[in-house]
Formats: sequence, C-alpha cells, structure tokens
Amino acid sequence: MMLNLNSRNFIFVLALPVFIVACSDNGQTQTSANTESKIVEQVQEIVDIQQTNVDDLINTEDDVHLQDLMHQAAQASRHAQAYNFVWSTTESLIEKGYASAKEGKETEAKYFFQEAKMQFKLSIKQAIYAKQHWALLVPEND
Amino acid sequence: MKVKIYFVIALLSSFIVASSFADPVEDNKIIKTYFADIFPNIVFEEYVNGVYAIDENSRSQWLDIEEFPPYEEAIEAGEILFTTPFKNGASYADCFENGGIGIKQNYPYFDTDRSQVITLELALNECRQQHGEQPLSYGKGDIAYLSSYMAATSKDKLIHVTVPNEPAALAAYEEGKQFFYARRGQLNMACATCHVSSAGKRLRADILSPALGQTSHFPAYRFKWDDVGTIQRRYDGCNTQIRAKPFKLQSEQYRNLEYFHTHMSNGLPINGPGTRK
Repeated sequence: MMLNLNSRNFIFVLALPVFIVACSDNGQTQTSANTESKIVEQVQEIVDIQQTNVDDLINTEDDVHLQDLMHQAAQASRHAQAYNFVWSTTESLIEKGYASAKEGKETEAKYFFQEAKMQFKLSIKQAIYAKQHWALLVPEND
Repeated sequence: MKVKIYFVIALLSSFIVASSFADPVEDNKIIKTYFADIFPNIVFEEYVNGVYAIDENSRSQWLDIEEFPPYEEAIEAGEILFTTPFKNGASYADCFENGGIGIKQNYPYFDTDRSQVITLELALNECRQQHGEQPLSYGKGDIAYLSSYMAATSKDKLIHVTVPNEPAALAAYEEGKQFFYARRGQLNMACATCHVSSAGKRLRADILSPALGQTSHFPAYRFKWDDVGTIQRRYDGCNTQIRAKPFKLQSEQYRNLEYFHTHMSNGLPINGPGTRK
C-alpha cells in the first residue's frame, strides 16, 4: 500500500469516526446501547438481504405435496414478516388454503398456498428494492 | 507526515459516517421549494387546509361545513375527559408541560433518554398508566377526543418538531423518511406517490392533498369515519388502500413516520381538529 499503513493503524483510522459519532451522544449510555443494537440489527438485515435467494421460496413443481406446500408457505411468511413489507392480501390466502384443505379440496388448497408463497416472495423483492431505491421519490434540490 | 495522512483519512471517514444521516432542515427546504414550484399561487400558511387550499370547489363546500363544525362535540368530550381526575386524584394536566395546554405543536418529539419517538397519544396513555389507569385503545374514541381538545388549545401555534443532533434521533427521522418514500403493498405505492409526486392530481373522484401541512389538522373528523380519528388511524387506512399490511397504531414504524411527516410541516400553524372527506 502506498501509504504504508500497518493493520493496527488502519483499524484505528476506521474506528475513529465511529468513536467521534459515539462521543456526540451526550454520554447517555442507554442511547448508545440502543444505537449500537440498531446498528447490529441493520448490519444483520443487510446480511440477510444479501443471502436471500427469494426464488428458492417458490417451488414450481406441480406434484409438490400439500403438506410441503403448507410448510413452505409458513416458512415464506416468517421470512416476509421480517422485512415488514407484507401485503394485506396474503395472510387471508393462507387461511383460505387451510379451509380448503380441511374440506378436502386439495387442488384448491394448493392454489391458495402457492399464491400466498408467490405474494410473500414479491413482497420480499419489493422490500429489497425499496431498501435500495426508496430515495427515487424524494424531490431533488434544483 | 504520516499523522497528517491519518488525520485526513479519519476526517473523510467521519464525513462519510455523518453524511449517512439525513439532514432534516435541508429536507424541509427541499419539500417547501418543491410544493412552491407545483402550486405557485398558494401561500405557505394555506397548506394546513390540505386539498381545500388547492381546489376552489372543494374549498367552498368545506367552508360551508365549517359553519357548524362536526368536530366540536369531540373537543367538548375531550375537555371533559382531560379535566376529570383519575382515581388517584391526579389528572392529565399533571403529566404535561404547561398543564397540557397549547403544547400539541411540539409533538411528536424524540425522547433521548428512552431513545424513541413519543407521540401525543402515546404520552396520554403513558400518563394514564403512570396513574394506575388502563390505557385507551388508539386511533379513535376517547384518545382522539383528548387529542382533539389538546389540538384545539394549541390552535395557531406553529409546529415545532425538533430532531436532536444525535444518531438515534436522526436514525428515527431517517426511518420515518424511508417509510414515507418507500413503495409498499400490492399496489406498489408510497405515501409520496400520492402526496408528493401526484399532489393536486385526481385519484378517481378525489383530489390528492399535498403532504405539506397534512399533520396540522389531525385529529380530523372524516365523513367516512363519522367521527374524529388520529393521524395514525389515517396511516392504517392509507396502507390498507394500497394493500399493504398495516402496522399496529403507535408501533415504532408509525411513530417514526409521524415524526418525519410532522417535522415536514414545521412553521405551519396547528389548525386541528379539522374536517375531511
């Protein structure tokens, strides 16, 4: 490296701005702890987003077993809830799916669970997009 | 020499960290300029009247309604609730600055000790719990009446929501801002889609109001509700309309949104409760 920084100095340089921001916190330890936990949450959220392969949530095979579909829909729901972008139309599909399954209407039940999974998947994609592009609607200063 | 280089790098890094937070004052300047460009004939103070500031026909109907305001009963009910002591003899007045009179313009605020946004309705319920009373349900009913009364006592006071210059407060403001501008729901719409980008345009039979000034007249009597309701009840309705699963009233998400949304209207007078369709 041109500047010939050794690793200890480099870490110091990176840590300094964090220290400066932390010092501007009026010394309130509660606030600092909350801020720190928020930063940890945000970093975890970014890691989650990067590791999400939302296409894996959808099984497009026709012969998938109803029980598997129920399990996958529940899994997709948990995943989607974490993003806080769930649609108001989705959870009722799960309820309809269970009602159809109870009545023995397997094909109909599969449709509802598949549709719910698709909506959960789209809401996750929407959340990821919004995280990156929400500022597109902010008016610009001319 | 090496020390100087470290100092410059540290300074640059600090700048990058600092610039990752929003600048609320700059945001306000930008939004006010934006609406001034779209509605050049509307004076700033008129934005508190929402769609009635920009559409003459709607305005004349509204002025007729205001001759016998439908929210008056809510203010009276709120005053009775506010002045009636709790079982322990204390009252709401004991929980607020200036006995709770003329303070709505300062809400929501960021509580740096608790590191969260405190709305007026949340503070009212915390006051109740502090004095051994059950919390009220949010959105409508008694909480909206209390809030209506407190808004009425703050009439014409200029909205003064502050964002302390500390990371947690700026982060809450930023989260509210992101919520406001992020598209969500099956219809893929943001608050800003209607109330910034399309303000003044028609959505079916309705004209969309500008975001600026929207919080000044809440709680509002809506004919659709046949009663007064809080701003967060309206958020719930908006989210439902775009087919997004609404958040719980007074959730962190909605409190942060209210924080950003109200800060946007800083400098405008409180004129709540108001009347809306």
